[in-house]
Parts: sequence; C-alpha cells; structure tokens
Amino acid sequence: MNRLLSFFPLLARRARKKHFELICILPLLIFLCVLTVVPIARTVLLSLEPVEGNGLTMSHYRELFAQEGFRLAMFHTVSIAFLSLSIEIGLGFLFALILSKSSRVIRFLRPVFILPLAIPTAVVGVMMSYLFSGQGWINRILMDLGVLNEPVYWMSGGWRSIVMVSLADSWKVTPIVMLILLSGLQSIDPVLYKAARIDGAGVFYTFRRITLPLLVPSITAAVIIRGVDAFRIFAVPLILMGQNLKVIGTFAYLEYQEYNNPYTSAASSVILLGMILCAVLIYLKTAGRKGIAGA
Amino acid sequence: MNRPVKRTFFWMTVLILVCLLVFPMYIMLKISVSAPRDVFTQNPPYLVRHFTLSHFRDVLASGSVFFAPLSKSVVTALGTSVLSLLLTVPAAYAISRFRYRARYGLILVIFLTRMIPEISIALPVSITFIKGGLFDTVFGLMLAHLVRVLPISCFILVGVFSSFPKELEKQALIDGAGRLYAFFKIVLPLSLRGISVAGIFSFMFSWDEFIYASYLTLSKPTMPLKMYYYISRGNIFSSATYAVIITIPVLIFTFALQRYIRPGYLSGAMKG
Repeated sequence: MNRLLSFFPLLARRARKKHFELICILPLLIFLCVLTVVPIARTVLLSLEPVEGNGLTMSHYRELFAQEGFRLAMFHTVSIAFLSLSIEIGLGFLFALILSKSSRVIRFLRPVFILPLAIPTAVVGVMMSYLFSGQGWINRILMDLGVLNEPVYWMSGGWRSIVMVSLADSWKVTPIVMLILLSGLQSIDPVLYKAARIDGAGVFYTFRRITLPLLVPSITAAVIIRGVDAFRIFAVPLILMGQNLKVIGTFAYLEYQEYNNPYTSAASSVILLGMILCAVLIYLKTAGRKGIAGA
Repeated sequence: MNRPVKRTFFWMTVLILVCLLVFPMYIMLKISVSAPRDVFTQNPPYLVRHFTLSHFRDVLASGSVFFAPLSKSVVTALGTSVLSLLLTVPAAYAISRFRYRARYGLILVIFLTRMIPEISIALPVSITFIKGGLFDTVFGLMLAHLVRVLPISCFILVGVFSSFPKELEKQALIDGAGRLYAFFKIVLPLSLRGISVAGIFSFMFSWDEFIYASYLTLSKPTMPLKMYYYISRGNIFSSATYAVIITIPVLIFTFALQRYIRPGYLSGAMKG
C-alpha cells in the first residue's frame, strides 16, 4: 500500500499523516459502496439486459412506456409527491410557528406534535385504512358533522385515492418538516423582531420581510429531504391501495413479486431514480436563482 | 382582531391539530381492544363500549405464528444496531477529526445514499442473496437494513464526536498515549451516551423496516410483514393488534429520546 502510494508523493504524505483516520473510515465506505453503488449498477444493467441472449436493449423501457399502468404510476407518483409536499410544508410551517411560541401548554404538547414520527410507516398504512375506508371514520365524522351527505369512496382510485395517500403520508412526516423549520425559526435573532416592532412594522410585514427570507435555507432543506422521500413512497400506497393505485415504487415491487419480471421492475426503478435526480436538480436550480435574486 | 379573539383562534387551531394527530392512533388502539360487535356495525361508537383483551390473547396464544416473527424482528434489529455501531463509530470519529471540507464532502456522500430509492437496491440485492444463500436469512436482512441505518447512525455520531472536547484527547496524546489508546480509553467511555442514542435509533430503523424485508423474505416474515399479511387477508383485529405491538417499543424509545430527535444533529455534523 505504502509503496503504491509513494508514486504520488503528496497523496502519500497525506495518507501517512491520516492513516489512522483512513483505516477507521474505510470499512464504512467499502460497505456502502458494495451495498449501494454495486446494486445500482446492477439494476441499471438488469434493466438493459435482454431476456434471452447477450447485448443491451432498450426493449424493457419501451415495454414500460407502452403500458398504460406504468404511465399512470408515473403520474400518480408525481402528483402524490407534489400534493403531499405542499401539505407537509404548509402544515409543518403552521406546526413550527405554534411550537415556537413560548407557553407552558405548548411545551407540554410538544411530544404530541412529534408523535407520528414514532409510528412505523407500515402501521400508518393500517391506521389510515381504518380512517379512509368506505365505512371508515373520516366519512363517519364528516357525515356526523353534516359536511357530507353520502360517503366518499376514497379507495375507489383516481384523484380521491391520490388525495388519500397524500394525506396519509403527510400525517406521518409533517413532524419532520416541522422540526427542520422549527430549528430554522429558533435560529433567527430575536433582536430583528424587536427592531421591526420598534420601527412600527406589523405582524404580516415582519413575517414577509424577516421570517420568510431567513427561513429559505431551512425550507430548501425540508423540501429536498422530504421531496426525495415523497418520490420513494412505498409502504403507505401498497397497504392502502395495492394493485388499485400504483406509484412507481409499488409498481416495481409488484412487477417483480407478482409478475416475476425483474427486467421491467429494474427499468422502472431506474426511471424513479432518474426522476428523483431531475427533481432535486430542478429545485436546486430554481431555488438557487431565487436566493440570488433575493440577496 | 382584538387579543381574546386572537387567542381563542390560536388555541382552537392547536386543539384541532392535536385531535388530528392523536385520532388515528386512538382508532387503532380502540380496534385492538374492542369486541367485534363494536366494529362491525353501521355506526361504530366513538368510545370503547365493549372492552376486551381477547385479540391480544389470541395473538399471544398463536404460538410460533407470533413468536417467530417477533424473535426475527428483535434479532435483526439488535444485530443491525451492533453491526452499524461497529462500522460507524470509528468512521464517524475519523470524519469528525477531518478538516471542514473533507468532513462536509464525506457527510454529503453518505447522505446521497439516502436519495436512492430502496426498491432499486432491494431488487439486485435480493437476486444476489437468492444465489448466495442469504435470502430469507436473518444475516441477509441485517446487511440490507444497514444500508438504511448507517447514514443516520453516522450523522448522529459525527455530531457526538464533534462536540467532544479536543483538548482532553490532545492531552492524552501529549502524555504519550497512542491514537488507539486515546480513542478507547478517553473518547469512547466519555461518548457512551451519544453512542447508545445512535444504537437505539439504529434499532428503531431496523425494527419497523418494510421494503427490504418484503424483498428478502419468503417463509420467515418480520413483524411488519406479518402485519401486512393480516391486512391483505382482511383480518382487521389481528392487523390492529400487530400494529399496536409493533408501535409500542418505538413509541417508548421515541419518548425516551425525545430531546435527541431534532434536525440539529444533521446541521451539527455539517457545521461543527
């Protein structure tokens, strides 16, 4: 190893100085490489592999895009991601504003606001099936309150189910968004608010000119962390809707487990990976530009 | 708006939100302790009218149907957290001793693995495991769970080690202790609290894992898979009971670790 490194004097000097750190960190990096980079490469290869014979083929991708089910799954994934992300950011912001109030009752209620984080995702699916089924509690309560005259069949597919899955997912993950935004809120210097008040600024003006601009980094962090997870959504739609409303995650799973077709499964998960990368890049670009314009 | 109106408005909002957050959990708990006639009616009551523990008794009495998944889940989660600590404690320690740019880069690389959809890792891993004989085994599942657990454990530990007073360590090195000696005799014992937090988080993230488990198991399910089995069979009481049993340990841990649950760990690792 040392002899090999001595070909690169600078690297060798650095490595010798840091060899303890390198030995510490190598096992983790090797493990992550073997269990993430290698599988990803294998998935990409698998998606290009013909069922019989050698060479590479795009036929699995063509097959996917020819299927209406897959095009629908793509549409569902994107719309659920958008909808649930908007709900989560909105509600998470509301939660964070409430929790940033210094009141004894609020401090006492804090555990309640992060409680859903502790519920396993698969269990969230179970809970939500009790709430949203035709005879479920949402219909029951809305009818008891007189908002609805007849039950809404949330699980019947289409936009209703998209809304249902988004709401179910938001219930679980809004606390994460809240925590990210809350730490952003708490890092704003209270002197700024004081100064604004002395200068006679109103609540909304202060919010728009101080709170919001200073929260942009936290919002960006929340959107990226949550946005990635929103595209990867799996357990909730699988448990609530199964075959009846597929997102790409469950599509790939069912393609492999039910129809025993690893090739299209691999192809669809490659497409999902591509979608996530695109979404993150687009967001970073637009948000970055806005940040520059704001400065 | 005058003050009292504003205040009532505020507390009304808080009340509604608290109800929305608690209600789903309440319903799950209620179904797991209600007699069937409380559930299979046109208008099920809001409160538990006929309390029963028979669903829990049924589940516990089902013998290995319940205890096999339970022990598999427990063993997998324990093994995953031990393995994850073995890998991440030294790595996080090293990362926390790097200079800013290297630290930031490494953390970013590890974080990027969270961006990969689990299904695109699970599929080739399951194919490899079928060939390698690791399919449907506890050890295979542990390996897969580590992919999910390692980044989180690493973040927490980088935060822990970054806040460790460097003077203490330096003092030991000046006194002639080796790096290993300083690490084992000074850094490790004084960071045990943070390390156990990382271990418990690893346990929780393996305990309720669903995707890798469903790709890598056939005959020996974990607890979440067993619950999914009952859902797909339409067995409402068993699934509710399993859901409650799966949730209880996570709930206890979350409350115990409440003050550690904050994104500050992430930014702590980044800034430091």
